[in-house]
Amino acid sequence: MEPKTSQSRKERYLTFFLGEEQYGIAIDRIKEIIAMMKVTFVPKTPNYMRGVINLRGSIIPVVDTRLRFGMEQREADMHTTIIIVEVEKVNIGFIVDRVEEVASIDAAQLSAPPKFGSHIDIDFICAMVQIEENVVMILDVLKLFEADELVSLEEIQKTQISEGE
Amino acid sequence: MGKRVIIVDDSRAVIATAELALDEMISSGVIEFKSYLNPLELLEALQNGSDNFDLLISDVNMPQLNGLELARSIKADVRYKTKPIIVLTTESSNEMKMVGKEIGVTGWMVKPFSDDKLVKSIKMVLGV
Repeated sequence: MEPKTSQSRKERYLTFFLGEEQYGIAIDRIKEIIAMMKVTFVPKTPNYMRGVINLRGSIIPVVDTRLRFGMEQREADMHTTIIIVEVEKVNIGFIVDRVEEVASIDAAQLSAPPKFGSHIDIDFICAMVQIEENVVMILDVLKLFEADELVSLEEIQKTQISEGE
Repeated sequence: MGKRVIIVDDSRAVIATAELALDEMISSGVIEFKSYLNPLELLEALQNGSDNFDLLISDVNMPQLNGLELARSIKADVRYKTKPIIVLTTESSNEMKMVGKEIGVTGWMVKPFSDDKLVKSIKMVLGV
């Protein structure tokens, strides 16, 4: 019997753009991709929290990904998309400029993100990869939020649901 | 070899949504997935034989060519005459359905479609 050639491990990532920059999130975390819809503002939340959406009866907190990344806010257009991602059992919507594609990436192609010194925290970028002419930053969505932030997002979701009942 | 499923839609978000919904079928090799943003490119690839499909899923409103016209051109080619085509649309008027029936499209799916519905339709049409 011929030995099986070991196949390189491929992971699939949904990639999207914020301005000129391309990012990727592992698809096993992605619940849904939806067109931009009406977001209800929730008072006293961090500035990057755009509010909540009602998606077929589920209340989902929505993050303005640009603001979370320290970029300027931007008017929504026809390409603006909300990516629903599961983070620690909480579904969170991320507003992005536009969705690009689902990319299959060989684990061997990933490289570690650069170090900018201890005062700059880019922990949420877990790897980088070249796709065609772009460098794509692979996000660790868990690290986008502090543990207490996730709790507060969950609280928002709960409050909204009980108020809606 | 998996069945070759092609989707043509001018929205990258719709293509990515379909690809995510079909992830299990793609990674298990049941289907091969290919997408086109431009129906004219697809038509050219089918006509010159550089691509082919077992199932085509086509959007209707595309700037370069209407999905029904695309289906008509494809169905006119003997190589694809019997191949199934599912049409994606945001509204399905009776008039549109009549045109679709006349062209010979296999089915309609209203956007936004659920993952389940897409998977079920594909499995049914391809018999996998």
